[in-house]
Amino acid sequence: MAVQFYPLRLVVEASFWYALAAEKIDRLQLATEPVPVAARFSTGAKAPVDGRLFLSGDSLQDPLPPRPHHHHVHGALTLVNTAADFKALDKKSLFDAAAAQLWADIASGAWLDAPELLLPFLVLTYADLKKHIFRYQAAFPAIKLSPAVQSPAPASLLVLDDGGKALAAAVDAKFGTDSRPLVWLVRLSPGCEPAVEEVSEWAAFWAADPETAPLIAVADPVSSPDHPGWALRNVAAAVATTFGLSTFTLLAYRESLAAADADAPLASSLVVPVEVAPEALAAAAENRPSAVGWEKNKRGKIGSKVVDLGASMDPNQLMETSV
Amino acid sequence: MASMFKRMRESVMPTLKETRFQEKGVLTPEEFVAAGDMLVYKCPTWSWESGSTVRAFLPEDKQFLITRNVPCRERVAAIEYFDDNDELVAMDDGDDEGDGWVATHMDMGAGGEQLAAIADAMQPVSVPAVASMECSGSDSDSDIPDMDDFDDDDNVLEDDDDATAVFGGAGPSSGMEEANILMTRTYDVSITYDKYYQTPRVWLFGYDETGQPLSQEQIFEDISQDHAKKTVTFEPHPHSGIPHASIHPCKHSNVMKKIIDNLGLSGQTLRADQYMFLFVKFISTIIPTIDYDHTFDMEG
Repeated sequence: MAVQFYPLRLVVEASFWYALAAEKIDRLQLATEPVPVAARFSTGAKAPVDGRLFLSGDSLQDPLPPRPHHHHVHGALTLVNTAADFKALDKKSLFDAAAAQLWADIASGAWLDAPELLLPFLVLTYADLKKHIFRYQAAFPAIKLSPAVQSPAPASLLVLDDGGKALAAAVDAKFGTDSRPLVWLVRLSPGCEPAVEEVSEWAAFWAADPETAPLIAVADPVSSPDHPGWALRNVAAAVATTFGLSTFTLLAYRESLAAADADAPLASSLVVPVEVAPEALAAAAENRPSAVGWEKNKRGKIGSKVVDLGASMDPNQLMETSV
Repeated sequence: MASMFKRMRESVMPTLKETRFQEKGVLTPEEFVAAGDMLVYKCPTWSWESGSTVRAFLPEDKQFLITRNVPCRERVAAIEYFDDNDELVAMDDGDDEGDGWVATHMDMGAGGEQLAAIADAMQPVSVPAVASMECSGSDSDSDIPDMDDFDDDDNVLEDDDDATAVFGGAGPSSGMEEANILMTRTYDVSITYDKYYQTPRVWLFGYDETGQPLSQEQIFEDISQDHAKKTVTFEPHPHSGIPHASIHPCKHSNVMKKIIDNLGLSGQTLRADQYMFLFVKFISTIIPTIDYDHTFDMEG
């Protein structure tokens, strides 16, 4: 059975629209070339919510200021000047260019040094600065291998004697809280402390204990108890392509920071065994695999969304509500 | 206008220099930072932030506290008046409007007693001008194209994909249940220092199930009806300027003073750096369904 990955959603904080409006007026003006933008996410929300990436007021800054226990990913934002331009945007080719870059980063092994390349995103926007209405559409390109990534066994919750406290502490000790990578390696050998290493140290990490295969941990903002999140999909393709592995185990790493979960911070993490058919790799080596990943609206269809900030940005409306 | 007046007033107010916590239940900026540090230490879902407007009496990297993406699964109306756990308390002012404080979730454990004390001490606060506030923009709604208008009309952008999990799709746990827990409103809850009232102040910004900002009327659905439009107002956040819902702080110090006294009677002392633990528990009486982390012990 094919592994089903839970899609992501881009949540645009109101502060981002303020920053974008200022950026458009002060700097971008009529330019429509894509600009770099960064999103943050955290894992292990206390109650399950779907996987959300956040654009904030500082998302246009480079580098993105760190936020404790958050992960960063990078995207490209295209801002057009009219509603008609937005409708006429060649979404297919923008998406295809991002997918091609994603595949190039996988094929070249560039992802090993910068794992966040495995979760790129696109935002297409039109800002009506007179009415303070913003229209946008997001995409998270994911490699679609054929045949798809299979699950030899169902995904299961991570069960550790100490509820994952030692592993969470090892991750903190290795990476700190401000600059967590998207992907890293974990080894849970019986009777040993959990070992944590950057994904670029793959060979040495594997050689240190050839008996125990590493888990490939992926920071996962999704909290579905059944499905791993979207990022694991590209990680599966990248690991199979770079290391020629056909079966390996991913860990959807979800760390709860809530005081109530202090005894079992990783309890919602998922262990995801995957199997990538050699034919899928052979086909991918021949022709770049296709990609999917447009964000769906609440009716499950691909389409743009509208945010109306008139009530909080329009001076006339503000005056009416002020007391 | 009111907020502009307040900003002016705040700018000429001297900063509180010496601790008046035990006598008045107010905090100096230094005590606010210490209490915030303790909250962040005990509960890392909260963090310090700097914001775009820096106020000089606080450290640049510790301007306000925030916890984000907090789920809010049901509307207040769904639990209010129907939940046996709720008790109506503090009717002592004889006000015939029935403005008692509804202390929801009285069984929340460690905080229960303090919470009752908070509820006891709180007097209804009336901000009459705000009660008549109307949700603006309703008449301009007709100009705004429905977001569904833009379903991609250049047809399918991509093929069906059997590796994409869908809401309510097949899975070991029931699809309906999953859809239920995954589709929730979320809130960003932040705490600033109010220089005029010399207390912390709470700000809320909400997003609907699909990540769209909530309107003022929608946010009121998540605020205990005894407080909506009375103690809760919409004002620009002091560090971003973006309008947020805020719980008016004019009675916060009285409440804290009452708690300090009550604890004093039983021989306990509340330290100023423990303030925030009580404070976040107190907020939960006003926003009972917003599920932020307030379940930790008082022991600091």
